[in-house]
Amino acid sequence: MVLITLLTACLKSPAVVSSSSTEQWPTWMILEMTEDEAVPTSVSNHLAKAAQQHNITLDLQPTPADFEIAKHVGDVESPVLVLESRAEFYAQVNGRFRWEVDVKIDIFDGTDHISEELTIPVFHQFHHERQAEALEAALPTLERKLHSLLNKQLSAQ
Amino acid sequence: MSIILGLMGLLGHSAEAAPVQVGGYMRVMTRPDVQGGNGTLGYWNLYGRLLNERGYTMLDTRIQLQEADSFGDPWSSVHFRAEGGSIANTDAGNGNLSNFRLSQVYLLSGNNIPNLVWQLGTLESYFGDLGLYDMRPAMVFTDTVGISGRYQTERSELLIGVGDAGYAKYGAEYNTVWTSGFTLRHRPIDRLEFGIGGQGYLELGTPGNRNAPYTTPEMDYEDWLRGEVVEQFDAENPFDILEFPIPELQNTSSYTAIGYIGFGGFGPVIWNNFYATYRTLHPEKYTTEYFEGQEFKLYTTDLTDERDALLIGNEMQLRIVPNKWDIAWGILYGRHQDGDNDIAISDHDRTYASTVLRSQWYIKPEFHFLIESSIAQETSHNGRAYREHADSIFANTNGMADARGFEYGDTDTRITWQGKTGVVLNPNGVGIFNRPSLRVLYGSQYSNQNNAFGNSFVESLDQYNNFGNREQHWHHVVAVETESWF
Repeated sequence: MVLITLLTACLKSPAVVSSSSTEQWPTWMILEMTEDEAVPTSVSNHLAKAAQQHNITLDLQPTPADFEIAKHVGDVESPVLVLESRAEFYAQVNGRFRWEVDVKIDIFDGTDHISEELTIPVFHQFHHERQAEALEAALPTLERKLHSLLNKQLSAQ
Repeated sequence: MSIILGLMGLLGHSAEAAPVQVGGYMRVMTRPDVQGGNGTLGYWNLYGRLLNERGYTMLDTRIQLQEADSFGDPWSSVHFRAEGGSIANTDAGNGNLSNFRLSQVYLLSGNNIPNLVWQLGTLESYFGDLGLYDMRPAMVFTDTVGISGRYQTERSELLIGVGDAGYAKYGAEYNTVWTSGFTLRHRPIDRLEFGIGGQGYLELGTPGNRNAPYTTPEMDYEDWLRGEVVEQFDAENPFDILEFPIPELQNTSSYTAIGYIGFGGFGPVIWNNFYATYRTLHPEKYTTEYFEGQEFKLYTTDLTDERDALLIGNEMQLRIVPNKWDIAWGILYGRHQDGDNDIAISDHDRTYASTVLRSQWYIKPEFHFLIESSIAQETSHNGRAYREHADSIFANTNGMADARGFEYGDTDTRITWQGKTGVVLNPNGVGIFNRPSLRVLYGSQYSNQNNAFGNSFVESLDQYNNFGNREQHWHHVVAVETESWF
C-alpha cells in the first residue's frame, strides 16, 4: 500500500487552461476509410468531455464522404477544430497486432491556426479489432494532445 | 490572408505516417534469488509466463516505399526485425549480440489488386496468442522464406503461401524443404470468429547430396540412444568394420494443422480464444559416433520420423466489474509422441496440462493489484524423468541404481503449483494486458521435483562432492520488471 501511495504521488495530472466564457467550436473528427467517416462516438464523446474541462463545447459536424479541410474552414471567424485520422495495420509483434494511428489536429480561429501531427502505436490483442478500436486505444494519447493544444490556443487568446 | 496561405499548405496534406517507423517489444527484469536459483520461479511457461520468462527485446523497422495517398490505394513497405533474449546485466548472455538474430525481413505490397497484400521474404503468421502463457499455438510459416498472398475483407481473410524451410531446419546442412500452406479466417457474426489452416513440408532425396535425408539401415534404437551402434556392429561383425552399412536415400515429409475459434463481446466475456495445433515433426538428419578413432555418421531419418505433437490452448478474458476487476483464465494441454521410442525418457514422449488464473483489481486506473495462480502436471511416457529427492539417483528403475538405465529419476510425473502477487503500474490505464507495465511481484512455487527451477546445484552424490546437496521443494522469488510494446 505504501508503494501504491508513493507511485500515485508520482503521477501528475495535466494542467488545464480554461476559457473565461463558454465557447462553442464547430468540430470535425474524421476517420479515413474507403469513404471518410466520423470517428467512433466513444472517441468523439471522450474528447468532447476533455474539451469541456477547458470550458469549450465541441459542436460535432456531419462528416461528408470526401472530407476536405479547405471546404470547411475557408471563411471561419470563430475557432474551429478539425481532427483527421487514419489507422493502418503495421505487423504482428510478439503476439500482438501492432497498428499505427496517424492523427492531425488543427485549430483555426479566423486569423491563424495551430496544428499538431502525431503517430500513435497501438497494440490489439485480437485480429478482429481494426480502425475503430485502434482509435479507442489511442485515446489516452489523443486526450493529452488535445489538452495541450487547447491550452496553447487559450493561452494565446 | 494568413489563413488562406495556411490552408494552401494544408491542401492534400492530411494525417500521414513518417516513411520510416520503428516498433517492437521489450521486457526486462531483476529477480535476485536467495535460494540458489537463476532468477526464474520455475522451469518454463507452462506455469504461466509471469516470473518464468527472462528478458527479451525486439525491434521491427518498417520503411515505406510507396505510401497510399488515400484508403485503398496501392502501397508497399519493407520490414526488418531483429530480436533476442539477452540484455546486459540481466542474464548469462549479458546482452551479447550473438543472442540476437535478424528474424524477419520481408516486403509487403498491397492493393495492387484490391484487398490483396503480397508478402515476399519471411512469412511468419499466426492467429493470435495465449497472453498468460506467451505462446502462439496456431502458427504457420515460422520457418519459411517465400511468397504469400493475403486476401482480406471486413469479415474474412485467406492467406496462401509457398516457399522453402530448408535453412530454418538445417542451417549449414541445408537441403531444400518445399513447403506451402494456408490459413482461412472467417467472422460470420461480430461475436464469433473461426479459422483453420495448415502447412506441408516435402524434402526430396537428391542422389549425391550429402545433406539429403538418408537412413543408415539395421540400426537398433537402443544402440543408437546409447551411442553403441558401431560398437555393436563390430561385435557382431568382427574385423568387418569397413562393411558398416552405407546410408539409403529417402524422401521425407511432415505437416502442421491448426484451428482457431474466438468468441466474446457478451456478458462478462471480453473474448475467448481457443487454439489447436497438430504437427508431425520433420525427421532429423544424423548423429555421430566415434569408434577406434574413426568418425561414423549415422543417418537417422527412419529413427526420427514418427514424432508428433498436439497442443491445445484456451484463454478467456472476463470483465467481472468494469474498470474495477478483470480475470484471465488459461488452459493448456500438450501431448508429444515418438513412435520410434518406447524406451527412453524424452521431450518427444510426454503429456502436460496446466491451468492459469490471473485476477487483477484496479485500485486506480493506473495502479493495479494482481494475483495469479497455476497448477500443472507433466508426465513422461517412457519412465521416470524427474527426481523428487537429492538422493533420487539411488531410486532408479525397480528401486535400484541402474548405470545403463534410460530413466533419470524416481517419478514419471512432475506436479507444480505457483502463486504470484504484486502491484502493477499501467500508465495507459486498466486492462490485464494493457501495456506498458511496471510490476513489483512476489512468487512462490511448490513442486514434487527437487529444486524445480534453473539452478547451479551439484547433483552428484560422490563422496568427493565438495558442495553437498540440497533438497527443497518450495521456491520463492521477488521481482521488479517492466514490459512494453512500442
